[in-house]
This record gives sequence, C-alpha cells and structure tokens, in this order.
Amino acid sequence: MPPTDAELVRDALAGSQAAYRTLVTRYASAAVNVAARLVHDRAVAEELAQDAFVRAFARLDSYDPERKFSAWFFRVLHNLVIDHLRRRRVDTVSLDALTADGYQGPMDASTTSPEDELERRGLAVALEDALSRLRREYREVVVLRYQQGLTVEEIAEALGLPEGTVKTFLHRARKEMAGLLTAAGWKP
Amino acid sequence: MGRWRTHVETWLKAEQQGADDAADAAFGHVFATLPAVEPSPAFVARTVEAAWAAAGARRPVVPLAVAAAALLVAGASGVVLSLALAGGAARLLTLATALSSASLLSLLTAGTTLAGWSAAVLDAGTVVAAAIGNPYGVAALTAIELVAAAVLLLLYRLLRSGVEWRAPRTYCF
Repeated sequence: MPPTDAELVRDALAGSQAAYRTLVTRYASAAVNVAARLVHDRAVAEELAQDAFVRAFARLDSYDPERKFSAWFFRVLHNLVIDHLRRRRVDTVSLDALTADGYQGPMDASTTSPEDELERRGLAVALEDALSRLRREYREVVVLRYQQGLTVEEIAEALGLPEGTVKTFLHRARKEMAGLLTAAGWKP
Repeated sequence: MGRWRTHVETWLKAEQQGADDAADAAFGHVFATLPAVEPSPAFVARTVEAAWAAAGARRPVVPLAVAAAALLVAGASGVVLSLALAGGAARLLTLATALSSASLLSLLTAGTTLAGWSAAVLDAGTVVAAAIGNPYGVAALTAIELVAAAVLLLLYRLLRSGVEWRAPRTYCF
C-alpha cells in the first residue's frame, strides 16, 4: 500500500528527503501540466512548478492533513502563476511553445487504427487551440477538473473560489469550447 | 465515424440539450485526447535538491535571529537600568502617567513635568557621557551598537528568506 500524501508530508517534515521526493514525483506532472496550460511555455512552467514545490516545502508545517494535499499544493502553484502573469502582463495565446515540435502526445496504445489515431491528434490540436483561447480563469478550472481530476470542491479550495463560481466557470468554459470546436468543423 | 468524433458529438449534444452532468462526463472523455505536458527527466531531482538547499539556508537564521534579539533586549535593558540608577526613572514615570490620562489638567501638569523630563534626558545624557568618558563604557556602548546592527541584518535576512511564523495546523496562505 503506497503511503498517503499526509504520511509523506509527516515524514518529510521529520527530515526524510525520500518522502519529499516521492511527493514531488507524485505531483510533478500535474504541476508542470497545469502551469504550462496557463503560461504557454514549458520552460517557464517547469520553473514555476519547481518554485511551487520549494515554497510548499517551506510551508509544509502549515498543511492540514485533514484536507487534500493536491488542493493545498495547487493553491501554492496558482498563486505563483498569478504573480508570474501579473509581472509579465501576459495572457497571450501561443501554441508553439508547447507544440513547436509537433508533439501531440504519445501514440495511444488503445487506438485501433491509424485513422483513429489521426482523428485523435486532430481533436487534440483543436482542443489545444480552443483551450488557449479561454480566459485564464476558465482554462485553470478546466485543466484542474478534466486533466487533473479534481472535484469542484477541491478546485474551489485550491483557487479560493466559491463552489458555485467554479461550476459556472466550468459551464461557460465548456460552452465556449463547444462553440470553438463546432466552428472548427467538429459539429454534432 | 471514429470514436473520438463520437465522443465530441455526445458532448456537443449534451451541451445543446442543457444536460450539464452529461456534458461534464462527456467532455471528460473528449479532454482525454489532450496530452499532458510532462516535466523534463531531471525535474524531480532538481526540485528536491532546491527545496533541501532552501531549507538548509533558512535553518541557522531563525535561532541566530532569536539570540541576537535577546542580546539586544538585554542591552536595551542595561541602558534603561542605567537611566533608572541615574535618577531619571521617577521623572519618566511621572511624565508617562500624565500623558496617559489624556486630560488638559494632566497635560498642564505634564507641562511642568516636561521640564522634569528634559532633566531626565539630561540625566541620561550624563550617564552616556560618563560612559563615553570611560573606556569600558565605550566598549559596552560599541558592543550594544554592534549587536543592534547584527540583529537588524539578521532580521532583514529573515524577512527576505520568506520564513513565516504560523501557528501549527493553520490552513491559509
């Protein structure tokens, strides 16, 4: 049975670097992914994610083990990303920083045919484009919900928003993306 | 029609029908096509190293700052004690009482006490002058000033390091 986040935090606070390494490994992909979707730059996303882990470690004694670590950690990351965007005054669309090498994910092992894979990649491009056109607040809740699997409650906690606002953001974000994908030819 | 297009159609229809829960579930399938942006292979090792290095840099600052603050308090107490012994305490106490009552009469009374306060300051000055005239006094005053400077420097580093003084289990940022 793998250790829980709360157990890893407890051990890290007691001085176990191995425990903290496990915690970082567990959330590294999520942190970089969420940051990348918000700042549109892989290198900057890694820096922000690293800063978030360093800051979280410095404040680990303030983490309440009764709450979900992911929500607590994403709050740290969220604050850092917001500070970064305010300093840079950037919220522009740039797919190139993420997809310059044409990366659209690994081949899907469950794909039954090359046509299916081609369709999947086409959809990924359209989704990427639509996601990048959303305002930052919508983009953040969409990624936390549909890519990181957080519940509405956890997202609300992470972003310091009322649950109703998170639901509204998700609803509006989906509507907007539906319009963009329909315009791109993905009609029902 | 491929399965991805089917997923998209299911989602778009649910949105059109206003079926929020169904749209939410269907969109989850659609969004799964988007690959996650993965960290570089060295990310975890680099991050753990950075976190540990930052923690190591913070560790000596806190107890040193506390020790320096204690020395400063001790030094300040020494100065106050010198003043008290020089007889300025009574005048200072009278002035403090008069000002804290915040009444005109008290202020008028304190006006006469101000003269006494000036005398207390002169007394303090006499004490300091006596100390300056005494090589041991000079050394003591210099030591107090150096301690004060060290405390200020450590407090500055402490504030810059971002160490936060929180009650345990506080969940807030």
